[in-house]
Amino acid sequence: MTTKSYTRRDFGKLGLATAVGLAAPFVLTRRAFARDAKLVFWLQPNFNQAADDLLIAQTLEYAKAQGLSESDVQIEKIPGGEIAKRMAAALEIGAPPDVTRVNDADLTSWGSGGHLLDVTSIVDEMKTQKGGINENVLPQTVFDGATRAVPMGISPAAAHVRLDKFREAGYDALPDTWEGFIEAARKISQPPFYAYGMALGLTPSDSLGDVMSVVAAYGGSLVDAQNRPSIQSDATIAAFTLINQMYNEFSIIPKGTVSWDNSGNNKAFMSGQVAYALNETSIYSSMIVDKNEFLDATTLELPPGGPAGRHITAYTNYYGVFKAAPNPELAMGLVRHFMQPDNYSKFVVGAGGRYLPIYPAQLEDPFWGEHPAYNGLRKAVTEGRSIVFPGRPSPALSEIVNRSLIVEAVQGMLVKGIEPARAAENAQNAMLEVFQRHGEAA
Amino acid sequence: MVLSHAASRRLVNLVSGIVLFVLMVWTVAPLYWMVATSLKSNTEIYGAAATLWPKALTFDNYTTLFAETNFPIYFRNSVIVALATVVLSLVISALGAYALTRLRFRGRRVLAQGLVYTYLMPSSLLFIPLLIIVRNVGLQNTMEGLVLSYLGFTVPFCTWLLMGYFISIPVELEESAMIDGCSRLGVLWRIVLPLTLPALAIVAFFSFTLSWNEFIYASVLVTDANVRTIPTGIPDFVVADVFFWGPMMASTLISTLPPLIVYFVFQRFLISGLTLGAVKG
Amino acid sequence: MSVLTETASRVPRTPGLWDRMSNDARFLALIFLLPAIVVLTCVVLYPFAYALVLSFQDKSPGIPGRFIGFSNYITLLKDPDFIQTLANTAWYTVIAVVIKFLIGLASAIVLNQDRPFNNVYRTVLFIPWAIPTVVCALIWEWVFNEFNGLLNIVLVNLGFIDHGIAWLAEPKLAMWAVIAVVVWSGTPFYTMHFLAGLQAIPKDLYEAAEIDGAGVVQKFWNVTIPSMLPVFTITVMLSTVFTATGITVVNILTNGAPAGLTQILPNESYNVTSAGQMGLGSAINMVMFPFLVLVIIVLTRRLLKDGNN
Repeated sequence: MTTKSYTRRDFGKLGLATAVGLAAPFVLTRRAFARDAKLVFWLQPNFNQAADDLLIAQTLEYAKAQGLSESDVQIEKIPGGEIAKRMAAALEIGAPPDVTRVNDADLTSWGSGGHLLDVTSIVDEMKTQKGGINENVLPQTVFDGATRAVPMGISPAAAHVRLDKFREAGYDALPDTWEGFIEAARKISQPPFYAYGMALGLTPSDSLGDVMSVVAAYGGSLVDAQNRPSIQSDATIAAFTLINQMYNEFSIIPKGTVSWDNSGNNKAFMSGQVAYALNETSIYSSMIVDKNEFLDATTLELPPGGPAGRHITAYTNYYGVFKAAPNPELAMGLVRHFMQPDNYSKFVVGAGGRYLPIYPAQLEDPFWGEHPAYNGLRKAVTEGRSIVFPGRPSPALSEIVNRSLIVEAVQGMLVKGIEPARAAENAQNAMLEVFQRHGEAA
Repeated sequence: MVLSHAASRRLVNLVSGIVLFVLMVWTVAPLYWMVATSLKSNTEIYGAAATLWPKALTFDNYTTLFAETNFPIYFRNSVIVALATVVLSLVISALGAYALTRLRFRGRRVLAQGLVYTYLMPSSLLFIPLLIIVRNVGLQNTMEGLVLSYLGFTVPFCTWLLMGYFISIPVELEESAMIDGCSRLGVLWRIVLPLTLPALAIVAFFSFTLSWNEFIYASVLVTDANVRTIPTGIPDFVVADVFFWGPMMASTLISTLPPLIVYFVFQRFLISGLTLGAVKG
Repeated sequence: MSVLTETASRVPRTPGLWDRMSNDARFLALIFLLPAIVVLTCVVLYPFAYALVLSFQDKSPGIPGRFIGFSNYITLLKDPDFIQTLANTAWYTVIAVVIKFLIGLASAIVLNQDRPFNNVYRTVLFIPWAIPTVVCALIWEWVFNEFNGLLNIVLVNLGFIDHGIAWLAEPKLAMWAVIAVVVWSGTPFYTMHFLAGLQAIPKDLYEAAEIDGAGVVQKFWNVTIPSMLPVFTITVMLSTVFTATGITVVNILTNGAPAGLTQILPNESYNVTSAGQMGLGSAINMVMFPFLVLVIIVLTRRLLKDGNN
């Protein structure tokens, strides 16, 4: 063997070289995280090209006014289904964007995680505008005693209804109860055309809203007023039974809905495959912008009701500014710029009503009169309920929403033949497990 | 069964002809659908009466793709990242595979086996920790960062394939060269590599396709549209637009071309590369 | 090693450090393996260790984790849905690998015969491998589409069904649909390797068998299969790993629907991690590890032994 020809010194040198090589990447970690962009805005698509384009234009406009060049601004389009993952990764490395849109569920997890900046000053300014703002969503934005998000628009989960199809079946309007709806829907459904494009997929999306719209009609809710899981109830069982009938017995919901992604119901409605879809107004607003052939036949309504009344769920969207922003004033300025009433009005109207304005006074804009379909939704601005009504968002609820746990229980009933009562029980158990893990009272 | 020689040959030919036909249909049908969709207009794609072939050919989807989306940038990035990954993984794996097959040292088997284990780490497990490292060395949102991460799966993969090829080269060739005063590096460079050129081609090819196809790392490590690659770029315009099937199928078609051209041109080379490795597996 | 000592003794002057080192197997091995070791330590081993630690934590993004022992694993094992996912993963992997193997072998045998335009066939059957998996999944989603998909259009036109079937939503079909896509995109890997393996079998083995009176079938069982064993092993091993750990197809086609029947562990882990539960997410993937390690041990044992001789 040749071993003998080495001295210990040689091995020492080798060892040193190896150690340096192995350690180099970790030593380099101390390198400064200089980022090129001075302002980073994550744009979550609005499912409406015009809305996206307006936001980009306004961001660049703001940057220019601040003396930034275009390369100082980084606008990233983050697909809706990717936002949770990308943000989890970004927060973990301490590099979230400066500003992004935030939905209810994400607001709770990012807000309670302590990642969002205090934006009370922006909201206070907005309150002083003519007519003020719709303030009933503000309590949800408070974490650690400060307002952590700027409400930017109300998005009712509106029933998009193809009136022509209902008329053909002999109905003047969308029936006001689910029983009535089913009766009409059975006449309307003639495969490959279906009455109800119910979102039932497992990608976090409109699915939970669709399920809860039926549950709410019977008086059920995700959590009670004390924020304890309450999905297992007679109301839920009644609603689940109905959903099961619609899917399996009467086939008024296309079977494929359980594998839809979050644009599945948008596509089905806009391409004329279904007569009813419950969705934020992004469907209708894109139909306006795209001059869709079914636009004139479409109207917006509250979803059908039941013994517990007829309700509409309204989501609120916010802008959040992250604590990690290197220049908080610059970042907050961008949100101010978006929310400045003239800019905001341009955005809301230019986006064809993708969001109902957070400034009630702006509902006077002629745009809303030109599109009477929105009339049915006006009261959603004040009466729309949160999806966790009568409770309030919490980290556990965010996880339940983001992992589609309730929808998964519903799918179990739809495709595995689990009894509605068992499905409600499974949903409750899934909720309890998460609540327990988060240490929230159950 | 008693069949004459000729009869049994005819039977074999018939059966294999049928098998080939079925395989071709199975492979081509989805591709046909992709091409057909990319040449249809929206009304034909979504219309109530779905059509099997485009009634009116349109190239609008391709125009949209190149004029209105970032596809050309994604395409360029994919090419750069894939090529860089190929070169680096070739060098690293060739050295590694040679050491593991030709040099006797303690821990050889353990290392060889350890290499396989690194290959089985799912990217869905590693993506966040990896992002932390890549960010810490300042490579987030860079193609270098992507290349570095891709080496994580191309190196074990290529090293293992190359080990098979290296084993198949007779040791005697190297020994006689070394007696003539050639160093180990010299042997690797002058004798082993030339003999395994086809093998290197096939390994290069596999690492090219692996990095060409990668999705999870690319979606997390990169947030800057200027650095995005095809697999993460395409879903972008999938969700941003309701009517996306046309442009998407068009982009699919184009993104398939580079690996395909490489394969078609080098086919003989690639197959013989594989043959060499197959001797010993 | 005797060769090395001889070489060294021929050198007249006292050899310098470099000369000595470049002829020493252990040193060279270190140098040659160093790049691989460094790279893999950084981008695989370190992240893995990190993920392993995470799996024992309650961890949300951007907030320091809290150690909770085996709680995550216990949560998982108590969850019947998780057990279902584990079972799904196993049978999805096995079925997909077996089908890919069989189709790959059939393709290779057919492509190995003399036939005009063989280059064309070889290229066409290879195409799916050249398509990014994301794109494969999207193409197939479109083929399976309930309303305007190719499959339904063909079946309706042929009169087999009245209206479209939701392939990805039917409990009995969904997993098969997913497997079909995985098979479609992964088979060329087998075909290429097997084709090469077939070409490497020495002709005289077949001739010898023919002299012994072997027919087509006997030749296949007695010559082809045994000669191909090493190729089979390495192909199956590599493919098993990337089939079991790949999430793209499931994620895009169904994301686990209907009712978790197509859910597999890595995708579940991906979803849970994405939802901010990083500890639980890591634990889900960790559970899969022992199984994969077992597969690799079984498959590589023989391979490495062969290499030694």
